[in-house]
Amino acid sequence: MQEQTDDIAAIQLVLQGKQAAYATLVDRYQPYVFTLAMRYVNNREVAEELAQDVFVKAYRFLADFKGNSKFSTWLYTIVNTTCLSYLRKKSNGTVLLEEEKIIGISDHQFAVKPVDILEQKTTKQMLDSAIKLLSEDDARLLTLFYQAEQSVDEVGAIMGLTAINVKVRLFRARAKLKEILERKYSREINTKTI
Amino acid sequence: MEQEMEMQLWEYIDGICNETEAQRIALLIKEEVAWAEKYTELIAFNAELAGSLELEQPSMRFTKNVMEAVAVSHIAPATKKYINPFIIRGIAAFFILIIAAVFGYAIASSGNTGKTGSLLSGLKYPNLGISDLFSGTFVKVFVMVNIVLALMLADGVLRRKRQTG
Repeated sequence: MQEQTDDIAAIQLVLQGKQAAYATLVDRYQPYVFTLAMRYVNNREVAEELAQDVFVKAYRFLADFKGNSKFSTWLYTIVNTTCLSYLRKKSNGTVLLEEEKIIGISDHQFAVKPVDILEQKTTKQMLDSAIKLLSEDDARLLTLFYQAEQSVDEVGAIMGLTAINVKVRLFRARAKLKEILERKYSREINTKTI
Repeated sequence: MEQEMEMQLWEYIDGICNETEAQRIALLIKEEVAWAEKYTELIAFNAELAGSLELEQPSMRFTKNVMEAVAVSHIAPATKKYINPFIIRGIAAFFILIIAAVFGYAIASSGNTGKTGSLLSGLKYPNLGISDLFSGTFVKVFVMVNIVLALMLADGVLRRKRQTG
């Protein structure tokens, strides 16, 4: 709630012409926007460009933010549309999205570290690796719900889904994540009791 | 059965079920061992997810890059400010008026059969020759032109798709 009030105050300052106040919002939301963009493109350089584009777009249309929702929800909706439009443009290129996803997964599987290194993996790293093996939609959903702390309704508004749809997808995504963790990291799970 | 239980427990953990449902699930957790065990397992997993997922960090220059890009752009005026609601209402009123006029004319024409007692029988309407306009030949030519235009459009779309693909 405090964060929301701070956001509104910063937005008011920006709209009054104090451009520097926008840096506060950029600083606050850049890891969320960047992480979400990464969930779409899985490439740091592209994700950074997209995240930058999102913040510039948000700035240009800041007067349209009426405060009916949280600033973060409005911002993540821009992330969603910007990344989807990038992927749509890219799908006209030579590599199909599905192919890229397969390449990404197999790359990751080949890059699995030896067991002795895996044993040293922290829970954070295990979860991060497991989430990358989920479908893009599931990864985005979990990121929005857990990392960006958006409610089921807000996730629905961002992704253009109904609350019931979000609920079902969230359930499936968690089940899949749990399954991946159990399958790939059973030894670590036993020791760390996830 | 287990999946149903898990789904209900997740709704309870996420706080998205109604109060009655929440009370019912709370009671089940208290009284049923299977529910209690599953709840403990899910709540631990939820805590891991909420606390352990790491956020990715962009480069150190990120904010600076954004602020540089922002410095050369301007805040667009709010959409409501440059879209005059009177224009929107004016367009809507124009279409409603046209539809009402056509509808009124159609009713009046059909009721103007010379029968006595009709409310509209005393009125005189201009003959717009609409029935001539929609004669068999006219409709055929119209449909044919539309088919040709649709084929040209489909051809253009397919050609563009082939070029980009």
